[in-house]
Amino acid sequence: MTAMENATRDGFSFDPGTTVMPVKCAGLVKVSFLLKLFAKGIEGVLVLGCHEGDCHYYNGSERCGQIVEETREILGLAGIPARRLGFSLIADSQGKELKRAVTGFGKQFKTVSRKKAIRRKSTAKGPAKSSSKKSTARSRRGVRARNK
Amino acid sequence: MGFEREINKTRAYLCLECGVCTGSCPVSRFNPDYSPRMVVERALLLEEGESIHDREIWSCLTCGTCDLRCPSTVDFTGFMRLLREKALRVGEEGICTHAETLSAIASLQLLPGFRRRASWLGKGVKTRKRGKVYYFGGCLPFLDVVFRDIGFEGSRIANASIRLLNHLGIIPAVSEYEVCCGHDAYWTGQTDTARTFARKAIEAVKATGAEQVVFSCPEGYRMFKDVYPDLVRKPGIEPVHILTLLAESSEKLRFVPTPKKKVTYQDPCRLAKGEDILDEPRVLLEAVPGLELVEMKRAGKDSICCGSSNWVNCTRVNKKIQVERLDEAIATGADTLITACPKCNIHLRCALRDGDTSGEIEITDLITLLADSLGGGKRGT
Ligand code: SF4
Ligand code: SF4
Repeated sequence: MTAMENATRDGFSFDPGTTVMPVKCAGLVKVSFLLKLFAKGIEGVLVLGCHEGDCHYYNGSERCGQIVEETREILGLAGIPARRLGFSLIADSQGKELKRAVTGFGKQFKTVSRKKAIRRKSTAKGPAKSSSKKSTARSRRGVRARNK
Repeated sequence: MGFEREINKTRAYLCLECGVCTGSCPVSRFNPDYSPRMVVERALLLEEGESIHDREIWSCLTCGTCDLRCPSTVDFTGFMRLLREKALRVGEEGICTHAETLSAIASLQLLPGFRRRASWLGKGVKTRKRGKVYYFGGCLPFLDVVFRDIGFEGSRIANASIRLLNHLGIIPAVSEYEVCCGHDAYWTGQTDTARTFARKAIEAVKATGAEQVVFSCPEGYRMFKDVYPDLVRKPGIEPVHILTLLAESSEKLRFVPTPKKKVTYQDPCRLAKGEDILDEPRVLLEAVPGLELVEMKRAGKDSICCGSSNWVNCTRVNKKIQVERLDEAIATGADTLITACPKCNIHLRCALRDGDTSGEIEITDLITLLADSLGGGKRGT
């Protein structure tokens, strides 16, 4: 049973702004794939893979780690904060871990947006503009998960 | 005729079927399925509504050798570009190299509010936010991340360019709103995307108050100079390639002697065939005491493309072109092969690493070499 199934059986459900994209192995995730998600306006991507050493294809999780690092570096150069790309390795049995990783990643988003909203409000001279409302809206998150 | 517009625009109707293009083409040399002459012939025979359905249209390097040699002045590269534009419309596309990373990096730059980080700027270099001269670094810092494994250092080229400008007393403006020049989008037939890049790039440069924009990349230079005026409008800013600028003020450059070295020079297609920038790099190389320039058999306008372009279709054929070119460089007896285009540097490094060449040769970027040879200047960054 996968960590995802474990988590959902325990009553965990994803934030409605989240899209889950299963892949065969985390090592198959490509830099271009992640970048294109950001280029489409997705606010954040969390990449989940199996524990290091648990890879069915030998080194998928390790490879994925390198790909995430490379992507973060490119995002950084493009002015997109690297923290918007999350990465966690979770074993099949760790449903709770998965839940924690996903909610943790999501929370970080909301905080970012809320902070932004507060900053915008405090700097706005006139009455609050409609744009501040937009920034408090829930972040759209893409979550990609892979577990056996 | 299905390709009337393309044929008229590029004078393909003048084709004599002489085959000079195919005889000159580096791709045809190794790929019998590819013939520019046949591409033109087949397009001429197509009916309205028919498409060319040929994956080989993505094999053209757009190197421009055929354009130079065609006795009927057919603009073959332009023709190829229009064929690609048409092919994209029916859902055909080239095979992206490097798992599409490069085109994905480009598409990130189209995000509204895109603002790149200037984290690649080295400590010793002087830049400003506004000024009369702008330095366009383009994709260089991004290429660093992708090609680090083959020892390519794009940011070093960008920093070296600024150091050289500083040496001439120029403190160039750089902008965080700079975007990709759109070269690869343009040559792979994505004309609308290229147009968007062009608009954004011009806007970013103009916002700094620049009157002149300096390029270290041959492709960006060519886009600004020759393509943008047709694609969008005259940028209203004078594009100049850094090698021209340096060669013009070579008396101001003080190079320190370097250890004796034999070098050979790879002409980038965009500079040599497209822009006639042939003497400038040679003058500069000769100005560095200790360097001896030896030419390859095919140099200048006859030089061979680095074998791959626009980040599409890199196959065994492309590797063969690269290995042949490297062997030609090795045969000169040079210790170092000097490149002036980041892509030549990357492609030839990649082929060299495969170890199919007849020997070893070092690959160095011209601008980095010049900056490192400056007296009193800081090395590295
Ligand atoms: S070189 Fe020019 S005229 Fe000759 S076959 Fe090629 S396109 Fe036609
Ligand atoms: S542009 Fe270069 S690669 Fe393309 S057909 Fe002409 S000679 Fe061949």
